[in-house]
Amino acid sequence: MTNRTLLILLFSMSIMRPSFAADPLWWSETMPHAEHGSSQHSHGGPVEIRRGVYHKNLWLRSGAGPIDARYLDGAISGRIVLIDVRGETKELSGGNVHGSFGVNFAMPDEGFYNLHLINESISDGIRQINIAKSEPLKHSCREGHDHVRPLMAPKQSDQVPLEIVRQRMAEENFHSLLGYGDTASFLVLYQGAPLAGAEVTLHTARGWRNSVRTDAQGIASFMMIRDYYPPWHEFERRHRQDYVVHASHTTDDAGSTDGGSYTRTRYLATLNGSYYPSTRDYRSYTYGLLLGVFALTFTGVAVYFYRRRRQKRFHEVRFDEKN
Amino acid sequence: MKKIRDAINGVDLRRFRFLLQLFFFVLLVYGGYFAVNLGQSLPTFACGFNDAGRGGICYLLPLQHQLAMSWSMLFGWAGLMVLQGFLFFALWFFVLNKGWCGYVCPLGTIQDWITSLRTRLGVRYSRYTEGQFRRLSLIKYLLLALMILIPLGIGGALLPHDMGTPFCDICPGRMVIPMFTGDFSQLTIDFSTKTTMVMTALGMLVTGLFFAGAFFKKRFFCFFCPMSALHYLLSKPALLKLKKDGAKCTRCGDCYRVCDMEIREIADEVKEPRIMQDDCIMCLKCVAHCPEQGALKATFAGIPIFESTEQGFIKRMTKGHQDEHKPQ
Repeated sequence: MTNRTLLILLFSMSIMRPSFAADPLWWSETMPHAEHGSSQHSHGGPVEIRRGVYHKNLWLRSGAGPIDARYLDGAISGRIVLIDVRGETKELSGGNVHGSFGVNFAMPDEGFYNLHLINESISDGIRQINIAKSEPLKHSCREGHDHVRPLMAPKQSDQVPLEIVRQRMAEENFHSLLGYGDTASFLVLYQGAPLAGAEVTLHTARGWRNSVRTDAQGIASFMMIRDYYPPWHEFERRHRQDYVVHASHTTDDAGSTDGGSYTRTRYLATLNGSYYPSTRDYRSYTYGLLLGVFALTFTGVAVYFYRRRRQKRFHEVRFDEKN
Repeated sequence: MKKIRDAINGVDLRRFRFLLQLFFFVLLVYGGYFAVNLGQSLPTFACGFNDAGRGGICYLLPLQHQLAMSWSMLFGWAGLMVLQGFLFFALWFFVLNKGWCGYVCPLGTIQDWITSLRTRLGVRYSRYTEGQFRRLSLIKYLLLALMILIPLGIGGALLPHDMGTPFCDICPGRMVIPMFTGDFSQLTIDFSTKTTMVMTALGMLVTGLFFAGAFFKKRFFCFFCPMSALHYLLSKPALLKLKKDGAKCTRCGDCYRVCDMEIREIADEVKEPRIMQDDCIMCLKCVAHCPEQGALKATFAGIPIFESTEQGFIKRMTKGHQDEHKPQ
């Protein structure tokens, strides 16, 4: 039996496993295994181009933050719903994507796609509904930039009870990147309406986390910290790091389903994203202006002295009258 | 018809050009605020780094981006996109030929404004010797070659990726044009890698040189502009043309003396009717300052649109003389 066959067999068996309801579930754009490095990247996420159409891979992870969340070997129960750029909804089925559970879907149009996983379980009399959302972007500069502005607005889904919607930055376009020092804002919606006072937690790639409560408009904001300190020669301006945001909300809704009866319902929504080194990092106005002013002054002075040197001064010629 | 033709030939070209340059400057530097978008294949320095205000994008920016694609993509289906971009660039260019430099280019306009400042301050301008002119003229072809070869080298993984737009890195337009919309973010040295550090430092040095050079030398940067070199390679089939009738030329040299680019052939060449040289910016000052009837003319699709006339020459000279003696 080859390794590949064994992997498929193990994966098929693992589909029968129970869901990982206790830990938050979230989508990740980071490939689970470094050896699958042949695919190309667009805005940091692995994409595959098949006959000219971009296909996005996303992997489901279980755990609080990027530093300790694990990839899932087996499938998980629940619905996976994709809302495309045009607002059309379709159901997807997940599967083995490069060795871990994930989804692969086509992104034929330019703009943001919204992927939702809705997973439900009952444990200790509490019904937990996990909603994992991802908002990948498809953009290629070759297709121009004229059409970008109308496509920037975030979408909301009427199919999920609790949703985190990333608010757009000022003047955001398809090239905008969230950088260290920037503020990321998230709108939390419960049944389509802003939810005030909900606890929202952001986890960064290196394990830093911060929890805040949504304001009266349902918005929670975080300033992204800088947590990338490589040696200078290893610094990458486009170094992508994942973050994940959780929002939870508990209600007294009671009832029973096939999984058993429950006395409370807990909603746990997640949204993943990426952040990068600030564009202001490693930039110096002082040195830039010094160099510019030096070149300006040096050239000006050089031209002045060049001209002075070429001026022929008047010399009176006196003849010796004796000769 | 004759009256219209005489009116055009007697036009105050200096004022006409100033107003047209101002119009295009506003269009390309502030057009974005009015939802103007002329695409990303413009054959002029409508700087793409001027995020907020740009009314279009200089073709050299997407060209360098596209050439830096991996070779498998570039020489595959994506190569068609590159060809498409080049086709749009060529179509734009064919309309105005090098008139894009003399009338549309925002960086050229800024240099002309600096020249006006120098004139008002009473500082005399510099000229190159013939030997300097010949040598400096070649630099733009060298820059054009590097601008193509470096991104190709990146696509082939031979060069670092942070050198992706080598010409934009050193182009003063990247630093100067965004300043007109209040964006000073390009006036920096980027220390994130050795490559970006060197390129941005070069960019700032060139910017300083640009301001000083443009002050002493008319259209200083245009001598080194790779866009100008690219223009010249495509200029033969363009619609707007500069023509000379050598039989009518008296070789007075007026055309050479007024030429911002110091093109000697405009005065010396009497055999070849297509007189436009690679450094020409088609400002048409030579036509305006030629006193010989029909010796120099600009044609569009073969139709003369502006030609030298004795009346036009006298009218412009008289006006210039009056302006000089007008009380301030």
